[in-house]
Amino acid sequence: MRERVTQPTQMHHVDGTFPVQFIYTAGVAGEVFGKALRDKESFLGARCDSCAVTYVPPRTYCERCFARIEATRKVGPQGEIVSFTESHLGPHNERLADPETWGLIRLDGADTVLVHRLTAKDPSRIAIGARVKPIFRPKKDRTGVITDIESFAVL
Amino acid sequence: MAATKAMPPADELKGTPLEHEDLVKGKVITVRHNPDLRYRWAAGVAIGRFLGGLKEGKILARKCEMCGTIGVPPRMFCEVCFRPTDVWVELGHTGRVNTFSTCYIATDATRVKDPSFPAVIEIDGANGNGILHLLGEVTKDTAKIGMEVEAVWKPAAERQGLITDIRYWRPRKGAAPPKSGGRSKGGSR
Repeated sequence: MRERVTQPTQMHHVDGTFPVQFIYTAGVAGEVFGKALRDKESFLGARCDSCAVTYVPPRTYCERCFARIEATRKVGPQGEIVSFTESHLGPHNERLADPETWGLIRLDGADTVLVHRLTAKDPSRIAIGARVKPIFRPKKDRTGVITDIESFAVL
Repeated sequence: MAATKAMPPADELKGTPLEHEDLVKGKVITVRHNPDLRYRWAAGVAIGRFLGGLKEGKILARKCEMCGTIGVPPRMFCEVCFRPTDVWVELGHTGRVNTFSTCYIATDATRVKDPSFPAVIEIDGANGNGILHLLGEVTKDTAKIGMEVEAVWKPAAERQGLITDIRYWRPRKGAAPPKSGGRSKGGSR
């Protein structure tokens, strides 16, 4: 006769952990973008002239024609909200005491969008098409990543 | 103005090699991530009971009445007959070394001075079936295939229902030495 589990709490189990550690690098284009952000508070995109598309964050290749492109086109720092949503859950599915607003931001001169946190003195002013500017962290706290920007604030 | 270039020749596409120092000294931008990965491995009916038996100082096996195979570690299904196994049987604490290795690396692949001796132990009464475990109280000169061994258990209070509740297997006192090169008897898998 096959035995059936009648008391799941007494089932034998073994607990363990996986000690996994990652160091991600930004890549060729991400490196240029991150350093400009960290050191100059400026945004660099990559322009494909033949497709007339400026990618932000920059890529090393145009996604449409596969031509090689470089992160040399200055964009922003201001931009506009393309879309937004209000988040009540954190990254671990925990309920947030203060909901956050996250949006897609198209920087001036860019054709692609960045995801970032949106803030406004008057939350009702967060709207599609609203103009925003980046709020940078203090220079000593920046590491060349997108979170060197605290948020994009509605002007 | 931004430049749009044609695809470079293949020999230009050799990537961007980085040295360890480039990462640790912050020459390039990095993001570190240490995911908190945890698992809970459920042992299942057969292995669960086997591990529960170890906690009580017993080696439990499962017998197929059709072919007579005694499986240890136990299975709820006979691998020979493709039918459910029938009864639990308790085995003794002695066996023979089917094979072993002299191992100079630890589980994290670092070198160790004193070797360990991972071995397959055919447990007496299990017609040649057995478990992977460790030999103890042996050296690379005294460990032998065919050697008769006995389990050395942790004290009952320290046993957790894990295969490590048996510390190791040591040469059985008073046992005849193995015939050189001979495979132990049984072995009817």
